[in-house]
Amino acid sequence: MASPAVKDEILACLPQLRAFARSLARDRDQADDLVQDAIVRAISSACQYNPGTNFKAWMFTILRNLYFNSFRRKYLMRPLDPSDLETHSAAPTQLAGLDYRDFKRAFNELPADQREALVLVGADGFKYEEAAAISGCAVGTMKSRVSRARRELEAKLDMDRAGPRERAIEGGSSDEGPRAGGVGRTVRRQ
Amino acid sequence: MSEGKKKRSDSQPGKAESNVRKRRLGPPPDELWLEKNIKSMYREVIEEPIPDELLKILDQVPKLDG
Repeated sequence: MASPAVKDEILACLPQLRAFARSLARDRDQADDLVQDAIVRAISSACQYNPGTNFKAWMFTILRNLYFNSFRRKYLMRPLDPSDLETHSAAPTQLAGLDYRDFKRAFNELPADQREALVLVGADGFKYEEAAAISGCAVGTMKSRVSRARRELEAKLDMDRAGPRERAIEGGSSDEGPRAGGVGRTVRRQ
Repeated sequence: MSEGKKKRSDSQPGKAESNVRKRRLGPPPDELWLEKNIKSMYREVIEEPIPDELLKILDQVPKLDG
């Protein structure tokens, strides 16, 4: 592949690559270091890219392999600063700010493989087959990672709210279903 | 225990209705909330300006690749 083509392809998927890296590294600077490493790796092995195949998926594979094989080890010993777990921009207006922050904290507490699965399938819209190919696992494994991640997120968020909510439900009559509180509660308009 | 079981079997028709409702309305609200938040979180980063350091690396592509 010619150099300008590599550059254009990388530029086109750079925002998504940064977002994917952020979900893995959970820290802005480390994530951008990871993206930088992935770019250098992609350029140096551009001849291995098969033209006509999904370039973004190829870049994602390089980045996640770097993260899981080497990058993570560099930072594994360092305890994650709580401030790293916060993102720097404001919550979208349609979501309650506090709940959204709770969500991000809970998401960042998930194991890396579950964060990866949720982001690939839930955020970037890769098909399970594509996400599995990127992660180098079976499609069934990817499906179960996504499902486990969802359950864990729900459990974490329910736990956050368990105190006051449980008491409120126990104290009075409730027509809410078992899944209606916690995570789902936020969806309801008051 | 047996009473609990009886309740469950009583609710089978309701379960069928719920499945029909599920098919019609899509995923439950909490799943939608999760999807929405995951996408929002991802979009936040996508919408950030690309740091100059990363763009500089890309400017060096011809040198590195050549």
